[in-house]
Amino acid sequence: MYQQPNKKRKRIISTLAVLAIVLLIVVATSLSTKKKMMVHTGANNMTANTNTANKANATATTNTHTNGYRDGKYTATGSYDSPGGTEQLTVEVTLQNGVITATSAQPGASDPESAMFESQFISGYQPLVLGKNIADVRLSRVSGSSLTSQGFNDALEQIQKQAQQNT
Amino acid sequence: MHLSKSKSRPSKTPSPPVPCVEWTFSALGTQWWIGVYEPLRANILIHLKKIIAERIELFDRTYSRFRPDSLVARIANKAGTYRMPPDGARLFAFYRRLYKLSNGLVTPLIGQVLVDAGYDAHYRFTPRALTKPPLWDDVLAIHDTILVAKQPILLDVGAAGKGYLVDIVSELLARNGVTQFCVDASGDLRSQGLQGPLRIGLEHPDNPDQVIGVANLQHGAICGSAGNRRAWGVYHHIINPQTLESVRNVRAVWTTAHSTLIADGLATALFFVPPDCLASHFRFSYCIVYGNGTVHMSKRFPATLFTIGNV
Repeated sequence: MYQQPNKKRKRIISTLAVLAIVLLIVVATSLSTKKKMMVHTGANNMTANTNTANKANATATTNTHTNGYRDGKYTATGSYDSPGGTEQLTVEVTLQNGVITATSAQPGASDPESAMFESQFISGYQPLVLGKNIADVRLSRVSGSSLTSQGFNDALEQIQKQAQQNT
Repeated sequence: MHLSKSKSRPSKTPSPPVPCVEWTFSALGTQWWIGVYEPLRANILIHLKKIIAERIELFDRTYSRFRPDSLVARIANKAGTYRMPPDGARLFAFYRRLYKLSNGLVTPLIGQVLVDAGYDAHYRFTPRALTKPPLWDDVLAIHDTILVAKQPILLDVGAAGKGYLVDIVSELLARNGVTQFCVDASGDLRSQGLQGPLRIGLEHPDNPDQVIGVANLQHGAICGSAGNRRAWGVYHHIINPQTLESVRNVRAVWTTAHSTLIADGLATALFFVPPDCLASHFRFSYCIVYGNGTVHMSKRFPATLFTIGNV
């Protein structure tokens, strides 16, 4: 009996985590027109309504990752099934120059238990990495995995080409 | 490598130090950069470049599994008793500690696993069936600089070797009168005597055009590890010797420590064990990006992360 609330909590929190991540992905791929999308994640069905702020992108960038997304705030509300009924969670994402600069999540559950889990999730979920373009950050050096040599790169390219030819 | 253009915005913090002299070269299969933050006479610079190149060559000729004339290549061919150069004692003593603390997951005996997975001296990248490496004590006995190989065995010291060499090069600079410098072996770097912190970008493991945060380093070492570059087929170069699969639940690790040897070795170890296993044995801080994209930074890790969600 004592075990069950922890297991249940873990399951609900991971469902919320998946939901939030999927919502973020849905929001990030939405275009500037109002769209209604159906997203299926396992047992949960979600619909995402997206709104856009029609702020023009003032600075043109050559970064391939902007992909023409407009600056502004995007909101997505997802619904999921819980033992207390169908509940909602809203995620808001701010896009600037093709990069997510802020995000927040708002609880929308009406069932008190779901509401508790949602706010626990929102206050405690682990932060996700967020990339900023190197050109926009003042840096002395960069640390990551080591660069590879030309010989290594050439060999890798060969193998990848062969793999493509074989398929 | 990535000196970014400054934008015209008011800076709240002082600018990071800028080197007076800097140069790059290839070594250990990657690109190195050295910056000296004080004036350096031309003849001293020439001398430094020479002795550094010679010292690196000595290291490579000993520990590289990518050349047929190395000590490692000889040990791979024939059992026997070998004498390592003096630097071997410290390197393998550290490896022994990591081996014990990781229950064998960090091991210098990973060489054959990497080769079988395809990452061999010829970069064939054609995987064969993998076999678990033997236990250290079954095949190796190392005391100080004496290495006894009970059978031919292929060693790979990539988990900490480059970091160690950064320390060795740093010592060379210091011994030759250079007091303010930074040695950057492609992301494993050590700085000493600087008058302000360097801003070190933490490269996004999924996108080399981006950083996920900025670390400050004035005196000490920072190392970064990720499986994004040395990757082929289903593998990348950080392979678990028990599961014989490349690690996926950890995507990138950074560590800071007093020495680059330790920072480098721990950065690898954190792909296999949680920080708690190492915390009471070494003085270090860390930042880990997990497979699900979440990031966790220890309290003392000297960085600001850009994150979605509370840090």
